[in-house]
Amino acid sequence: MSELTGKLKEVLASVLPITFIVLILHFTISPLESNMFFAFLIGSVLVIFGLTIFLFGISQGIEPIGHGVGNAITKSNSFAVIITTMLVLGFFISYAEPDLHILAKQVDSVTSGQFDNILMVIVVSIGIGVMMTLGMLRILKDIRLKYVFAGAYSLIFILSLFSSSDFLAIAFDASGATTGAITVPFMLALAAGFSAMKKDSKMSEADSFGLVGISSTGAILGVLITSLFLGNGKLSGVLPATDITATTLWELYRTKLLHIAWDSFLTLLPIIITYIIFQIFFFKHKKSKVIDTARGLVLTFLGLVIFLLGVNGGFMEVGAQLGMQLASMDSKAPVLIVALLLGLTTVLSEPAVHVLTNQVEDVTGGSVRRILVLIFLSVAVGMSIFMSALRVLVPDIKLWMYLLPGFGLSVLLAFFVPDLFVGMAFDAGGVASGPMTATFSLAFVQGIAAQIPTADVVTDGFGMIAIVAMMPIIAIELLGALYQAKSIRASGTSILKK
Amino acid sequence: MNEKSLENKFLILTLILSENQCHKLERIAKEKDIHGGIVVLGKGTVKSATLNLFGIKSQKKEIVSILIEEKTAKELMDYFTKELQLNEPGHGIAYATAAITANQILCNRQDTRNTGFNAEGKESMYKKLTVIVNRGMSDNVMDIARKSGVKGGTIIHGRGTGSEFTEKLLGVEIVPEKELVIILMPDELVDKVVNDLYHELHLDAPGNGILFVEPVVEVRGLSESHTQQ
Repeated sequence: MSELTGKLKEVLASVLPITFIVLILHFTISPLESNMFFAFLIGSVLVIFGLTIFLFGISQGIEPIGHGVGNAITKSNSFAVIITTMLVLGFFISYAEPDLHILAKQVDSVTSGQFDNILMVIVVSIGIGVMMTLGMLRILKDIRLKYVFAGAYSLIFILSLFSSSDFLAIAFDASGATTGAITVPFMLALAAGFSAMKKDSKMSEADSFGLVGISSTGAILGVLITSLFLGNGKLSGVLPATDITATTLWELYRTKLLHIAWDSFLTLLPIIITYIIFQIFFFKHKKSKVIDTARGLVLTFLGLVIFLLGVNGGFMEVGAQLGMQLASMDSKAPVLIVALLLGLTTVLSEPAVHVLTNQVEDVTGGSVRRILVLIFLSVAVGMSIFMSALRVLVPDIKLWMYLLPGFGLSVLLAFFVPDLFVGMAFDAGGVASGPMTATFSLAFVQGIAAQIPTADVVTDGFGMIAIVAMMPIIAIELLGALYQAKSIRASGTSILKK
Repeated sequence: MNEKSLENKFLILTLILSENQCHKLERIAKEKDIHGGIVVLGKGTVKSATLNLFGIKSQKKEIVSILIEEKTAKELMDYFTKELQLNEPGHGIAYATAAITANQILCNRQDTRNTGFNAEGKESMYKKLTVIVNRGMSDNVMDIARKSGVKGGTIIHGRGTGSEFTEKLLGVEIVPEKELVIILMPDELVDKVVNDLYHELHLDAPGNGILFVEPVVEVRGLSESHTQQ
């Protein structure tokens, strides 16, 4: 049973910190309504069980499929097969992501229909498909990650000069929205399966990461390129604040279960179809293995539904409530401190974070410990939520003041850090902006915005995910730099000899 | 390469442990002044029918290999058994196998020792050579080994343990990544290959790598061309 209890312990250690913080706040400065408080406790239990089941499902269903597909297309030894598979797969994985559709609808209404929601979903999906293909071809062609990121982000920078800062925020949010709980593990496994076939072990290790990061630049590029054709107008339409609370808090609450179940199924669908096609033409696995994979997919689905139910049911309302209560206090210190604490702890319960950190241990043979990656991720997201809250409170801080130096630094650092950590860092960006951030933390920041007269719930909400996607990149790259310095010292003479 | 031929015999101690136990072992091994082991990740089987029902068919295990001197072997194994509670079911296993040639750093001394072990008195035709080097060096190992007449090898990826120079980052020890190259070869090749590897990889300097040779009783599937050397 140790495997089961071990996983449960890992999950408990990641969910309990956030639960304790909310409990302490409840009994001290920010009491919650009793029904909301109980909803939160139930939500926490659901998140713990959901996440445990989900993680087992991922390792039995999603990861073997991703690995297998990565292996199979490498063995095909044909660029045509690789390019077609990746384009189609990338497009549909992204198209099926429910978060993207929610974001697209919001964008549709704030631009008063100028940026049509279907158009947005399609351009983002094309962007992901194209960049995911490039990300795979890069592995084959041995193009180092840092050059790809330097290229992609330079292009984003040039494009951003021609588009409004609002579109920039939407673009970065789109990249966060597409890298969901299912997509990230699948892409990680795909890249690992693909690069495992390489002969050079050092490169193969480094190439296991980076695909998520490259793919998410596709979403940004897609939106920015489209915005060139739409004109540089500022966001003209208004999405009433009540509207956003109504759809997220109450309406979702009622139809939650069915809604979440359907969304989760849609997210899984492209992967299920991929599996069926590959099983018939490439894998030809035995019946028992098919049953294992199918069970893995069922567990993934069940776990995700329970997890999202907990997050949407209990966490989101509490997030918004905490934000509003704390922001209405005279002193602004509590809200900023809580923002930092929430950021520090929520990222631990992001499903994809578990998958990424475990893959890091697997790929490096346990040399890079997951706890280190977790600490750096946690600090990074804590800083992100803090910075987002600060931006809401101080209207003079514009989003680009964070994003320009931040992404500039992350591309620059990529040239001084081992390749392994570059890939890990950019993947961590996509990983950190998962369902927990997109609901709980976002609701918290929007809650603050609702209490601050100078802030706007919608525009300040946009852009938060961009910051959460940016800070982990810098943090993990710093970890890489420290790690390199330390391990050179640790292995002392051998490096000199070489 | 046999600068010193000591009476000491070498054993390879292998422990199969869970992740937590492995970290504990790395700690206590260092206290016992044992350096230069390697850890690779593996999967253990799961017996429980309930867990199998949930599709949990394997569990994460770490396989630790350490070179130890025979005279200390029993005491060490007893110590590890006590510390890691290996006597209780599910707490991992440990076993020791004989090494013929071994080279490693022991207490800052760099010795290559030919221990002249024979597997239960039976003269075997083949030997298993294991080389542990830093990550990315396995290609060099294979290049040198090929030049010396070996046809192929298997590379396993792991991490080092018990390095004498340890660095910590936020209290977490930084352990170097290692690669383990396993080469099966006929008897007559062993001396040449070991010699070439020893000199070309500069194994006489600390931190460059470890190699050891174990006897193999039976081999199947090795290409015949090996013996043409």
